[in-house]
Amino acid sequence: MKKTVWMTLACLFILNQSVSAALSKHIVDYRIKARLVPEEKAVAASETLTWLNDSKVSISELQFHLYLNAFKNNRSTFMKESGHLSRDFKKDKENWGYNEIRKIGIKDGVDLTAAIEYIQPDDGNKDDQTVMRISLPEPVPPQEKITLEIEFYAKLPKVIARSGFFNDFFMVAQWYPKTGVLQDGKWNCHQYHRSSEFFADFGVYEVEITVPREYVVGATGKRIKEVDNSNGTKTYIHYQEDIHDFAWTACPDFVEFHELYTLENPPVKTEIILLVHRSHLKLKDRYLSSLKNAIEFYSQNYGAYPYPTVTLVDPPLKGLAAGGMEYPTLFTTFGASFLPKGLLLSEMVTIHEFGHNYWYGMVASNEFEEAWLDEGLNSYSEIKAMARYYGEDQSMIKMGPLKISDLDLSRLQVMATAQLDPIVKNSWEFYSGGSYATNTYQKAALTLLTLENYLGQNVMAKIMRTYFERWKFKHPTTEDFIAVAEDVSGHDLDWFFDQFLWSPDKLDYAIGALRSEEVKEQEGIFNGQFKTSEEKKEKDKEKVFKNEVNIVRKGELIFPQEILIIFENGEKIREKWDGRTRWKRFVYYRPYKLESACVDPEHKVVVDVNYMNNSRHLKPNKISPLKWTLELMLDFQKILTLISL
Amino acid sequence: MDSGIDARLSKNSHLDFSVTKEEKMRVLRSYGYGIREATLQPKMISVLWLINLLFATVFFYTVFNFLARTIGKSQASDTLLQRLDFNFIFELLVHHGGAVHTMLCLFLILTFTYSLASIFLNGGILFTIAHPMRMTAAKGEKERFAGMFFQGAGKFFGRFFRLCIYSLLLWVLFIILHVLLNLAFRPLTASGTNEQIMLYLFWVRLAIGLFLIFLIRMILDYTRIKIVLEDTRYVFRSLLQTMVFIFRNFGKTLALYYLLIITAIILFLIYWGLKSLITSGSLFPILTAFIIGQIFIISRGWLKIALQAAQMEFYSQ
Repeated sequence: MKKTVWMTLACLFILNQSVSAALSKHIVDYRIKARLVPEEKAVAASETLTWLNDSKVSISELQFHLYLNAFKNNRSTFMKESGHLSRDFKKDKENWGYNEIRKIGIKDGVDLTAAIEYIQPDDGNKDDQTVMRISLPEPVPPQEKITLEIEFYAKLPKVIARSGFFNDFFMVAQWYPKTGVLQDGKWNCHQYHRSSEFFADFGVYEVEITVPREYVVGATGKRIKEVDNSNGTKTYIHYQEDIHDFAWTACPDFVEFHELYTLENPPVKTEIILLVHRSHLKLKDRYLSSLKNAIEFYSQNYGAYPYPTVTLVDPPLKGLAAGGMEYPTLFTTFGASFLPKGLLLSEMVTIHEFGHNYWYGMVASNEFEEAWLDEGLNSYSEIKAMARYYGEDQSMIKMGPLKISDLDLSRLQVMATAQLDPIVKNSWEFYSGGSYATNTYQKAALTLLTLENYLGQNVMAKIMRTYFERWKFKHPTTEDFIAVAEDVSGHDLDWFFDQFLWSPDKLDYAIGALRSEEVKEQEGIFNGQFKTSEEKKEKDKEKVFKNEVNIVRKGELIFPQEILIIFENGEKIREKWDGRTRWKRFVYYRPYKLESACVDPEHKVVVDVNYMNNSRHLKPNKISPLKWTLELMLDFQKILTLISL
Repeated sequence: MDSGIDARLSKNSHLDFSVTKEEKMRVLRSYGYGIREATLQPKMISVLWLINLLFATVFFYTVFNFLARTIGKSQASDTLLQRLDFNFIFELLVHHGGAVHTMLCLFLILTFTYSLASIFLNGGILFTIAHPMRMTAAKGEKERFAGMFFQGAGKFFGRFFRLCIYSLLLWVLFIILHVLLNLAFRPLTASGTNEQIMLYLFWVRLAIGLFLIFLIRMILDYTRIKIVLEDTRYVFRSLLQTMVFIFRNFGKTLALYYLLIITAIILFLIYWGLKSLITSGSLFPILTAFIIGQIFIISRGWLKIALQAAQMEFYSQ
């Protein structure tokens, strides 16, 4: 009896420990048994899902994402939005993908298979089956749980939009029936769109993956068991808490590398797992080094990486449609055996996708509705990390004289894209895929870098860290980020965010006209006295110039500006302007002329779409155009001689 | 069948890659002749350079005005004088895309016009080089360079232009071959497992492509030579006969052609070496680099004449 009491107390203690150790509130608990069927390019699986009604109202229906149905036919919302599909893809039945729910029911209770209904909350497209609704026979009361048992078949498409197969490479992502997020008593469960990612609740995943023995498997979370079956297959069991999605991959051509990574400050201990395709083995060190950089950067700047594993998946070249994608504790990168060392694409993608463990993985904003909160924040972090580890001006390309930074490329994309959308908008409602990407990734990153240069690096670092600390393992919104920024900086930043996040406009300040004109002597009648310029000449007075600097605001966005004015004698003046009016004129009377003027001389306002018009010389520099023209002319001459040779 | 004829037919029905010692000497003799002949033609080199410079001047005027208007006033010009800053290059392309597009159209027109001019000049070059050979045959008196050069250019322009049209057949054949090659290689890369093979095949395709391009250009060179030496108006027939000639002398014609290509590569390396010594952004080094560049362009003209002369000498043997 005594023993039983002690055992019970011990169990309660352990339970209590495990509850308090949980990093997130566990809304979902998935136990999945999955079997890869390579010859069918599919996964046959059963899922036991326990869902907690964390709202204050009873819930009488459940909503699920069935993302793979986006690839079921050409009428799905995803396919309609994508437009063109290659003829090669369409002609083979094997290339299409779908989710088939074979059975669904309450554990030890009612079969709900007949209650399956497809809904289209975003666009009403009746052909789209990416959201499934199940009406429950009895509502789930607040703070109560319901357990469902589901049998499903996930037919993978030929690799497209993050998941699928190519030959014997399988990226099994967005593959299981996954509940939407219940917010304020209503389901937030969007259809799968061309331009959008995902949103889900935190919880526990335990997934058994059975594959033919020759396959190398990588999956979200920690591998807790590995069983060699007698039928030529192997089963891997992965377990992870405090995550909101689960993805896995299998391919016989993966080579697996393990390394324990530790960091002292903040304390991090995690196992790095690299699954490198055997045709990319020479990229292994690049992957490893950039992943270590990423863990260090994000841990030091935002918070310690808390998971016991991180898995990098390197897809084959022809499976790259699955590349560059994030899942909790696992991500796919980008690599090709012929990638030059100086082209840091693999490094950039590795850092970016790992970074999503923070901005998406832990700080789980809604990627459907506010994609900038994960992509923008992460692109901002990625630009800073790339600059720190690979150099400010060569963080993307360093090949001889060719040096281009991650920041340069982001600016190019913002410059080259028409300003048609704001940064904050439902992902699927952007003008185009390009507009979605530019605004949610690059423009958002440049906006944050501009804010950093305005508030100062230390303040911005504190904002980011506080935002992470305050919102990790939760679902923050744009307003939550702004609240943190205002709270930490102590400034009202509405003037900034209102413009930059919700307006599609551009920022462009320029030097207008520069003038230096000699001040004319008094001529005419002054106080009853007649004066001529001849008189003055006789006195041989020093010349005085009226120097005029005009700054113009060419874009709609308003931002305070600094102006550097340089005179011929080397005198420098720094002016400040709130940038509100369309133009501003500064006038100086000096015995010498202006030489040049420059608005934002340190290029702090990186979101400015035109640096070239930021500065102006009074006397144009002709040597530089001459140099480049002669170089180009010579190249042209060489082309002509090649034609005639 | 006569055994001698049989042997000749047998020999002529194959690509002849073999080059005997005597034939090696013949190739080298032609190469030497080409180099010598080109060196003795300073006026012709000058004409080629000046016409090239004329086209380049239109280019210079357009680009200089554009750059002076765009980057000249900005401090970007100071930065660009020291190093290539891609921020400004990107901005130039994005914010002045219309002007850049117009300039590209102009350059295409210039290039096309230069191609026509080149057809015209080819007649002059070959007619002038062929003059001593014709003189020996006709025992004629010496002619003035300009008269002879432009007489030849005018005389053969029509025929060379027709040759240019007929050559489209060869280029179409080249494209078909390239497509077939891609199809043949596709099964090797379909699995996508071994990217190295894909890379190697890319290089193989590139090498084959370049080889075929050089081959077609060589065929056209010899056809023009044949037309000038024989003063024939049967252009298409000449093209076919030249192909037979090259087929029969494959190794030798290729050896001579590639010898001159190697000379071109050496000239380019010398130029590159000299140019890389100049790095400063002030006016004097810029002008020095320009002069070195012009010397390189002149050397290209010299090489063109050497190529034509060497091939003509080889053909006339």
